[in-house]
Amino acid sequence: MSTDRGRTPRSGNRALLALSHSAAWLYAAALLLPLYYLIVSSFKDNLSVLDTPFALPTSVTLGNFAKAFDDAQLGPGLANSALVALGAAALTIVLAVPAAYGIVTSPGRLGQVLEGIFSAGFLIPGFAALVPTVLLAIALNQFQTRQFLVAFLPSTALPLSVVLLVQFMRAIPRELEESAAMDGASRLKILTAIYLPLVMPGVVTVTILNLINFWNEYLFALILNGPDPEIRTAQVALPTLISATSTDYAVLAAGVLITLLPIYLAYAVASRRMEQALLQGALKG
Amino acid sequence: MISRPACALVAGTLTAALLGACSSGTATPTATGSGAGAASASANGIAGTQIDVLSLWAKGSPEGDALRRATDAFAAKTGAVVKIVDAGENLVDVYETSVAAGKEADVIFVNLAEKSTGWTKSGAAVPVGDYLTQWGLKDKVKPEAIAQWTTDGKVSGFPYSGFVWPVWFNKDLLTKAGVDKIPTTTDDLIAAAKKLKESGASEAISIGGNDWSGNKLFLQIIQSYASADAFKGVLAKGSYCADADVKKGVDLFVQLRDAGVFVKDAQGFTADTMNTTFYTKKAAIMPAGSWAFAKTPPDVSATTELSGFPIPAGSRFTKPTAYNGYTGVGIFLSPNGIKKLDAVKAYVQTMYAKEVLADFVSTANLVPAATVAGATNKDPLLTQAVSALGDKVEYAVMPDTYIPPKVADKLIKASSQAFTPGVDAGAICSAVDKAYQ
Repeated sequence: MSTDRGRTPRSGNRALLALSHSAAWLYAAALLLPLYYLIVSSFKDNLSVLDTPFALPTSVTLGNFAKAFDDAQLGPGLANSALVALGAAALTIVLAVPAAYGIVTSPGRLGQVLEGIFSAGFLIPGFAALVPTVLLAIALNQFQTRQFLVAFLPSTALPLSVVLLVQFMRAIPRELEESAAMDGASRLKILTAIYLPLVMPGVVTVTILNLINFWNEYLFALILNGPDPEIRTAQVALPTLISATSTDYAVLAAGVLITLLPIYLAYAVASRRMEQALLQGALKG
Repeated sequence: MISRPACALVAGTLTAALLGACSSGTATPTATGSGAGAASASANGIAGTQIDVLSLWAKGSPEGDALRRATDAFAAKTGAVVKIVDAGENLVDVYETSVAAGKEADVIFVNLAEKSTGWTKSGAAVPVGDYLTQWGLKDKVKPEAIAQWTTDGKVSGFPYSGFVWPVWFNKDLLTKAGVDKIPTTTDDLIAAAKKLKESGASEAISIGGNDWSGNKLFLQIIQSYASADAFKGVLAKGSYCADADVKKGVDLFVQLRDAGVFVKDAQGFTADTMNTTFYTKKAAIMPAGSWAFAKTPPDVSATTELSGFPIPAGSRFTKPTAYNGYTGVGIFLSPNGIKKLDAVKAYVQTMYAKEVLADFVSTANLVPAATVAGATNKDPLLTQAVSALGDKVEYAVMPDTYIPPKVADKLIKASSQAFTPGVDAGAICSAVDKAYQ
């Protein structure tokens, strides 16, 4: 009896495990399908992309990539995207870290109220801010400039950045701060010498999330910067490959892959750090 | 990615709010008055003047490359600096936003359709009727082209490219299915569709039921019985089924759809899938414009006969119908553009030079809105369209300039319902009328 009792749950577990694995692989395959479509399309001609979308290409040439890069002028586009995304991500951290520190160290309920105010930012859809933002850019004579985009984008990311960093900072024992204060450390010193090194995994996580968002940002980049190749980002350059009457989807797929590559590489390099940070945050929580 | 309506909303809001209230631009006027033409442009002091051009024709397309060749030659000859910016399908929204900021390009190459039809009225573009005469272009541009670009007595822009929009028939596929002659009546068409389906090799009409291509075919079919003037009125104001003849046309559309003349799932097709279905011989018929000639595979091109859409008994037309027009792409002048009038004048005149137009015709299959002697093109479909199509078809009312700019996008979405099986004429009329509300 005891043997039977032992076997039944074990075989049940195995079945459950197999089911879980199958579901996970199925989900992964579903996620990979668009990527597969993009990759095979970028090596085909336009007719094949539309006629046999999931078939393998008959030859492997880089012609579509060269054409996409040249026609959409992706070189300056990628440089502008890098400038805007890196600049905005850096500025976001510069603003979010002190804000999170201020919230964590605020006395009484003030910190909770401030955190609530930042969280309320989630309720404002980005699109609602577009028209006033354009008006502001025009009023400041900063319309169609990259610096305005760098200055503006952090405002869209601050709510999430601050809320995430607050959670990381709350896990730091207050005694560390108190002993440093007794030793005469200033607020700035406590932030930079104690808090910042300890929340570095959180800073990396927030930076990666923001970099991905800023790199893929399209609406504000299009409206605020416009289509001039000297200042437009790669995401704005890419749609110039689309035509209402004759889009070459093979070239478009190649262009999409080109713009995906930098952010994918950045994520691949930093993803382990981010996973560790998230795990660390979860354990501390 | 942002949807086009989102961009449109922003651009529209900004334009409405700011046009006329903003400063009129940041560019410095560099010259005034009118010169004697492109040849003397340098003498008028345009060397060094920058002209900003916003273009729908993207780099890498035949038209975009022809535009760049002409522009480079102009810049080399005059010393002017011309900066071409491709804005693709976002051009209209991007331009309207930049007008609101007073930072718009000087010259814009875009088609006259949807929102651009309202630019001269809103002040986003400058009427060019006087410039056509003063710059010696009125005799070059075809009168019918100027007429199509004229609204309320104002010429919206310089007409540049036209189009023919016939119906393409793959003779090989029709013959193999037992269809001996190109259908000219809707009864012939229904019979041909049945034979094609029975043959199992292909379907009848490939159409992008989900976009502008389906919208144009829908509007082409439903005007079969209405007079041109009555249909123009309906396009302008809506109330489709209030007009008995238009209602009869909608009934005809439903009859054709239910008889299976369109490809299966046409309501989900776009113009690109329409082209591919025809190019890969999965459909024997499609309505497509002259812009599609260049990309047609040679074996399909060789067996394609261009004609018009078959007409029903009692139609106001006596021949199958096609569209033609000169609203393809024109040259708009912006408020900033007229601040550097000499340079812009020389640039526009250059675009109408014989050698430039000939290059557009031969390399980009352009149907010019201007008369150009000696231009040659070897494309068999363009040759067929120019030499034989006129005798076979009667031209229907081209809807673009009659549909109000605010309605156009919504009407395309509404008319896509017409391709959905089971949607009756009343529901179709109700959907398209809602686009006008």
